Parts: sequence; structure tokens; C-alpha cells
Amino acid sequence: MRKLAIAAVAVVLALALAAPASAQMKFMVGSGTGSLLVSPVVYSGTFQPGSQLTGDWVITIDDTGWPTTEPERFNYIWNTFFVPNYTTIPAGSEKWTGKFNAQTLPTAPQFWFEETGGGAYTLGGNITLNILVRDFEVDEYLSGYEKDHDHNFNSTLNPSCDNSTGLYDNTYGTGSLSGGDQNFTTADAIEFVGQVMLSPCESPVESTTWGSIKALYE
Amino acid sequence: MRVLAIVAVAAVVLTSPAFGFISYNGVGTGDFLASPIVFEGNMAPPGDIETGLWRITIPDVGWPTEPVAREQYIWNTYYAGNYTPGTPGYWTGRFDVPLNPLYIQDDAPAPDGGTMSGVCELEITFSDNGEVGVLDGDDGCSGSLSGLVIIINDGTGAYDGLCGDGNYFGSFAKDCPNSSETWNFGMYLWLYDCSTPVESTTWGAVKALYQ
Repeated sequence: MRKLAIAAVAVVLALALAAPASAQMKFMVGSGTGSLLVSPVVYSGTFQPGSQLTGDWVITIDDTGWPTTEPERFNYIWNTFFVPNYTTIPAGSEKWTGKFNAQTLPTAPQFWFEETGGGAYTLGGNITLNILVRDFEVDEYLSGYEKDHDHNFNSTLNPSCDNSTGLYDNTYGTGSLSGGDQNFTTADAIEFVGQVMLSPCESPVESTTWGSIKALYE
Repeated sequence: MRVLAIVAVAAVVLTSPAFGFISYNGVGTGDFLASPIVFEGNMAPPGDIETGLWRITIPDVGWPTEPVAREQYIWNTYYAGNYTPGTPGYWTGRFDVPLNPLYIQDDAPAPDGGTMSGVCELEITFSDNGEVGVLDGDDGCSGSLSGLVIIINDGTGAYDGLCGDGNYFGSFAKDCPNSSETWNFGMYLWLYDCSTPVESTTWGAVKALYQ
């Protein structure tokens, strides 16, 4: 497994510049295991030293209808999520991208961040997952080397008001993360870095009122 | 200062890059309503590249150039169909067909500096702050972004003969009600020796014999 090297300091400094004044930005480094080849699809692990989030993280992907045995399961995943996204332009960039999100799955992939000790909190919501598989041999055929190569991945995520408690109670926002070591194995160790920007949820009264006001002008 | 506390405990380890691991932090600006769409800026040290320039160009062939029509086109094409209800709901825009040209310039003195180019995908998400499913004045003024990266073999200087892949994540803040926006991201690249393309060609030909 190749690990993701992080210039953690600079990321924190740079990202903080873009956070709105009302938002709090949290930088995260996570490591754990999971697999697309095992049902249910659950990646889980812990946040690492350097994170502003502590505790555990979980990412689940709805695999309803996916075969449960190999090689049928991998073939289904490959043909459904990757093959339609093969691109060849420009030369030298030939690749497949697997896209797992609310538009390609029965339900959106979910994430759950949780600290049960001091500073207890939960953050949860929807997440996307995009996985890059290179076609090094430029033949639109997945070789063993290409399949086994460490794959880059990225996500965007959306913490919701319904799932925020404790330290981050009544907050919502957006976030993003990325990593470089996804593999098609049954116990895939991954590492990622990312950030979430959290803002206060509107009270139900505020939300209803604002929605009504907007409706008047639509 | 809180950031300094993070510095002290940040201890993520780099292990065994194939030919080289490069990371940098980018800070820059761009505008989807301008044509061409060029997001460009400099590196924010520290990082493996501390001085230089990055540029991501979003292809806009066929997009209207008149601002109102252009904004509506972007909305209808990339966001409106990708709304997910929730508390609050959110939109996700994916700019990945065609891929977005990427240029990286490392201004470090020779023999360390050079240039890289490639392509990247871009995924942007922002919240529906009004919880109505309709874009209002505050929606889209800030959010998060991330993407996948491919570096093609046309680098110069220290990057001559290298290709690779990578990823990035970050955030954006728009100068609402204006349309220009600032991006902040960390990009992570794994670079390989691609100076012998004959190997790839030969291997592809061998495989073809067995398919």
C-alpha cells in the first residue's frame, strides 16, 4: 500500500482562507479498511494524528443488486460504474473513472464521523466516491497490473443538520476528501485527507420563514 | 494559535513513492462566467512545490458568453439535475467531460524546477441553504471541491520524462454577488518514469495477441 503524504500544515492554512466567516473548517486525516468486493460495502477506520476531527469514520455504499460472489461481483462493478466512463483524450491520459453517488446508485453513499470520548460528536450525511483506474497500456482492456495498481479516489460530502450532535450539534455544511491507495481487494487499506466546513443550521422557524419568503418571489 | 497546534501533531507519513511524490497547496481565483474559464494561482508554502503557478482550464466550447444565459446554461447542464434533498439539500456539479487541462509550474531553481501538464476531473458541491430546492442568493457562495488528476508525459526540467496521477481536495469561496471565486486546495501527485513508451506499446501488442 502506498500512503498519502500530506503537507498537513499548509493544507490547514490554505483551506482556512476560503472558509466563510460563519463557518468552521475542520481538517481530517483518516485511515482504515473496507472493500467494494464485500457485501455490505463498509469502509471504516479512525482519524489520525494531525486531524481536527477525532474518533471513528464510516463510509457505506448501497450495493443492492450487486452479485455477492467473485468474479461476478467485480465484473458487475467494473461494467456498471467504470466502463461507461472510459476516456482517451488527451493522449497519455487514458483512464476509467468509477462514479458512486446519488445519481448512479439506488441511494446516496453515506458517511458517519463519530467521537464517543471527550469532545463527543457525530457528523453524518451523503458522500460521493470517484475512483481513477489508469489504462497504462492504452488498449481499453483492464490488465492485472492496472487492476492491482493503487488507485486515486476523491469525494465530496454533505454533513446534514439531522445527523450532527455533540460538539458539532446543529451544524451542516460541505466537505471533500481524497486519497491515493484504493485497491480491488477484500480487505483494502485506505488513507485519505480532507476537510469539512460547518455552519450553524437555521432554526425550524427561520427555515420555514425563509422558505416562505423565497416562495413569494418564485 | 489553533493552526500551530495542528502543525505540532500532524504526522502523516510518506512511504515508497514509485518515482516521486509531489504535493503542493494551491490558492487562486477564476470565474465560470468568464470565457475561457481559467482558474489560476500560486502555491501556498510549505509543500514540495513552494513557488510556482498552477492553472486549471474548464473547457467551455458551446457555452453562451452572455452572462445571464451562460449562468443559466451552467446551472441547467451541471447542477439542476444533481440536486439531492436533505437537511439541507445540496447540489453537486461534475466537470469531467471533457477533462480539464491542468498546468503546473515549479519555479524552484534548476535542477529541481520545471513544468508538468495533464488533465483533471472536478466535482463541486454546495448547500441549499434555504432548504427549498431553488438556488437563492446565498447558495453557491461557498462550498467544497475535489478531483482526480492525470499528469501526461510532456514535462520539462525535473519533470521531463515523468507522468503520473493524483488527486486534490479543497474549498471555494465566491465573491457574491460577483461571480469570481477563490479556490484553496491540496494536490497530491505520484509521478512515474514514462520515458520509455516503447514498453507500453510492446506490452499492449503482446496482450492483443492473447485477446
